[in-house]
Amino acid sequence: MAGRKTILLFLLLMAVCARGQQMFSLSGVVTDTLGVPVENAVIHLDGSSGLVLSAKDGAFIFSGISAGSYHFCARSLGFSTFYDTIFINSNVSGFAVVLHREPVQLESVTIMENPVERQRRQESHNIGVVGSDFLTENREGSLMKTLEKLPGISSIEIGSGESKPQIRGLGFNRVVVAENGIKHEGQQWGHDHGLEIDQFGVESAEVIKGPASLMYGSDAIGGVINLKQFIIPADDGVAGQMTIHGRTNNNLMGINAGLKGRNANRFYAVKLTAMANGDYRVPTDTISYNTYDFTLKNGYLKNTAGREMNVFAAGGFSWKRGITSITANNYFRKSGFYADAHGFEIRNSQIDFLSSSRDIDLPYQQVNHFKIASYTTLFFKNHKLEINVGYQNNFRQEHSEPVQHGYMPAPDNTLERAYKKDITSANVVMNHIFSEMHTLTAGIQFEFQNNQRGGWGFMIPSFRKFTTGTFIYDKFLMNDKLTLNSGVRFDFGTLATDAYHDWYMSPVYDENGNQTGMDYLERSASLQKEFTNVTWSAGVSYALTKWLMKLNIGKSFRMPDARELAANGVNYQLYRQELGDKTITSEIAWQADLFAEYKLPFTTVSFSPFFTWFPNYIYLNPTADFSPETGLQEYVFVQNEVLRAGMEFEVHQRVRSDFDLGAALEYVYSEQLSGQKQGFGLPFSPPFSGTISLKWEKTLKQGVVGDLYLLAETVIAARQESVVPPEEPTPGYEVFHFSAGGNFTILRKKIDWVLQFQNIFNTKYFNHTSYYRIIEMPEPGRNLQASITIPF
Amino acid sequence: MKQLFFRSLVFLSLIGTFHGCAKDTDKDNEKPIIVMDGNNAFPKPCDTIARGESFAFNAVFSDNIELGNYNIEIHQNFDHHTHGSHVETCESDPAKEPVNPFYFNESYSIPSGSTHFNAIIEIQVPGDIDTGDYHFMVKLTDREGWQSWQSVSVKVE
Repeated sequence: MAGRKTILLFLLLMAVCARGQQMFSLSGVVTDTLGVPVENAVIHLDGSSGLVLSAKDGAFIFSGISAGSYHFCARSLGFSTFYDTIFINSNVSGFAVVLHREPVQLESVTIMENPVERQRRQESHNIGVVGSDFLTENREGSLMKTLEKLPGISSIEIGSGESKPQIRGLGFNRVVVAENGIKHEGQQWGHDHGLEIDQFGVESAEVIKGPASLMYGSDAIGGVINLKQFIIPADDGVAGQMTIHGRTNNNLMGINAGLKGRNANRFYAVKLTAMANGDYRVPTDTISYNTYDFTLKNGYLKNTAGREMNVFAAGGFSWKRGITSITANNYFRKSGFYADAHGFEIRNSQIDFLSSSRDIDLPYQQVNHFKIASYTTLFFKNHKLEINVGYQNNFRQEHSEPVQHGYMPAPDNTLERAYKKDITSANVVMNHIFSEMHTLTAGIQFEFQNNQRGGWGFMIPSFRKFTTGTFIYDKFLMNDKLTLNSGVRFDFGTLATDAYHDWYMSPVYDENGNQTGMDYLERSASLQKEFTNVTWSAGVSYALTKWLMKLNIGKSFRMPDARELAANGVNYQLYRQELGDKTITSEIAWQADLFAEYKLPFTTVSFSPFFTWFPNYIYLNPTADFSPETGLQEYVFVQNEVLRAGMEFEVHQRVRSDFDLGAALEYVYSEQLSGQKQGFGLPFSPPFSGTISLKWEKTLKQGVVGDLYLLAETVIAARQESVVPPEEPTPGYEVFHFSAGGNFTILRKKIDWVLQFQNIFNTKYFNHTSYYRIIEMPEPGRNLQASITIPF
Repeated sequence: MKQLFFRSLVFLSLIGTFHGCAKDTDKDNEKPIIVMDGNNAFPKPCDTIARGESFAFNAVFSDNIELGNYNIEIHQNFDHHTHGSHVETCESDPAKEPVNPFYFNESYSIPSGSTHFNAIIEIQVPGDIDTGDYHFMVKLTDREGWQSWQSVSVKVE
């Protein structure tokens, strides 16, 4: 091994050089920003003999150091890591290390590193948590686009700032988005619906990669994104803040204001977000689809403006034996669909789309999501009881120009589709602590959904759904390094769909194909289905000082949804007939995943491969047939055996004290092992891609300037050849981003700012997982984004 | 430990290289082809169809593996909308409201195993329908579910 020889040689040289050299010492004190000593801070001097811990008075000492330049780092739970470069040519004493507490005020997350890190080290799932620092630094047009920065996470863009999460290439109804453990319902009606979540309102996000049905039930087959809109403030007092946010690409202006307070055992919060954007711009003059060219004026995508509003309120109190809170929010969004390619039947509309880049004409969608939830935790001597109850109402409408199509006459209104969803859910989870080493968690969950459809376009019938699940989960610490996790879950669900008949008449044929008359055709028969599933998961986590290793295996499931069982209608956006199959059973996934992390003070490397086998993946198969009723190509839901495998790889290297060089890679392979598309992959498969970033950060403390960072980043994606009809292969690309941020203090107010310069070179590239990829619509061009947060 | 970092980078670039070389060859990733501008093809852009008479649709289809089915749809274009594959521009009549527009929508199968097929279909146009601008759309699938379509503007007189 050449590398090992080099190290050996280096050490030898060091030893030779060290001979006869004078030895020095470095001593100092670790304190927090208020001057309070920090005990047990881990202090590392690169190139010297290992680590030292600070004493009770914060003091530390390194001795026997030869002259030279050293990278210094100090870390302690609950504090940001301190980095510096020191040149030593004499004894240094009184070296002051000031650790900044991870902020616990409104502007940041209150999760202390401690419990999160402990959870990460003890859970065998691949779990990651990001706080509001990450969310602010990486802010994109939508929350899921922001989370895309995490390896293994991507998003399916559905235009106009809406996107759906994808975890390791699985998205739509295979990923659960939850808020404080209560499933966020609303997006499952179809492909083209975004998540009704205000990204400014989210304070932290927990991401579980891989199946997590055990704790979340059906749908968590690809993973879970658990959001926290409200983190209880740790300290007494009232804190308010206001964020102003702007984007040049689509002339977005947004404002978010919040107030959060705590008075002994009472706490509360109010948040308000309002945002408006104009039409998106892409770096092209024409979009070509199937030999037709749409021309874009100055790159503007007609009618993609949008408006968004969210109101959030929370309140609660704690007492000796418990804590309880209620949160409520109402989210509204209205946004236009790109007018030229809605329905692929390109209509010469009379609407003057170009009169304003901020107006929203037909076709458009609007959604209102209301949610109220109560969270209670009770503490007993050896156990903890959590009771969460929630109600959600989701009302979504799609409006388009009423036109005659096929046998359907022109309707008299613009409401093409309406979906109304009422959901009531309850979770009860009990934790029993046998000892410090052994915890047993048991829970029961209920959810009832009532879904009503409306409008002149039929896609999915009205349906009612009831699900309940009960699980038991055991965590056993063999010793301080090894943790065993295992659990089993039982689920029961019912789904009842209503029959649906067209509101207009179509010809009826006998078996010889002769027309016998006209009738209101039944698109969907009423259906009553029951599903039961048993799932389990088992894993092990092994944590050493430098190493963290996890292995998890398990079985997860997903109950088929109403669309998969009973759809029978035209998907106008994709101009195809979609047919459900009432014999479809619960989708099952068997998964094994591994996580390995190697951490040194200046280097972190992590690798997480996974392998999933679906005996009966539910796939919408494009067939060679045309619908006898509409003459459109039929897409039929089928169940095929599918294999998926892939990995994420991440490496961070601190170069000197203030540079961080990072690289991340993600890869997903999928193949259908049975059925008509045997040998093909799955739709919307993310390409093999990587990110390289260089970040410089420093606490300057010069005049008004506090912290400052600069970040240069490049995203490289390989060509995606693995396509299924009607997808096209997507060429590879490389995009560059630059951002800067930090804070400064004026009038004793600490003002945070972030400036992002996205797609610096205005590169024209396509995103394989964009809903608009199929019409050759490139990703947004150059964009300058700024946000500033002012406390009050 | 910088070495670890750089070694990782080398490892990553190797993965990338191998990945770039691996190509799928056994999958059908080609769409079927519709040829509507051959010598015998009908209708061609801006052709005229007489009402009360029949005409023969004539087009050539091909696919690398196996053809699926095809569909013919004729619908009025009195509002002058356009379709995906429109490239031609015909002189159109003034926009008008439909009274009794002609609507035709039929699907046809292609003998299994065909990679090449000349479709000829006799279509009867009723005598009492609205004259004016119409769209003639042809959609074609192959066995794997790839779809192509062609659309031409015609006049019914």
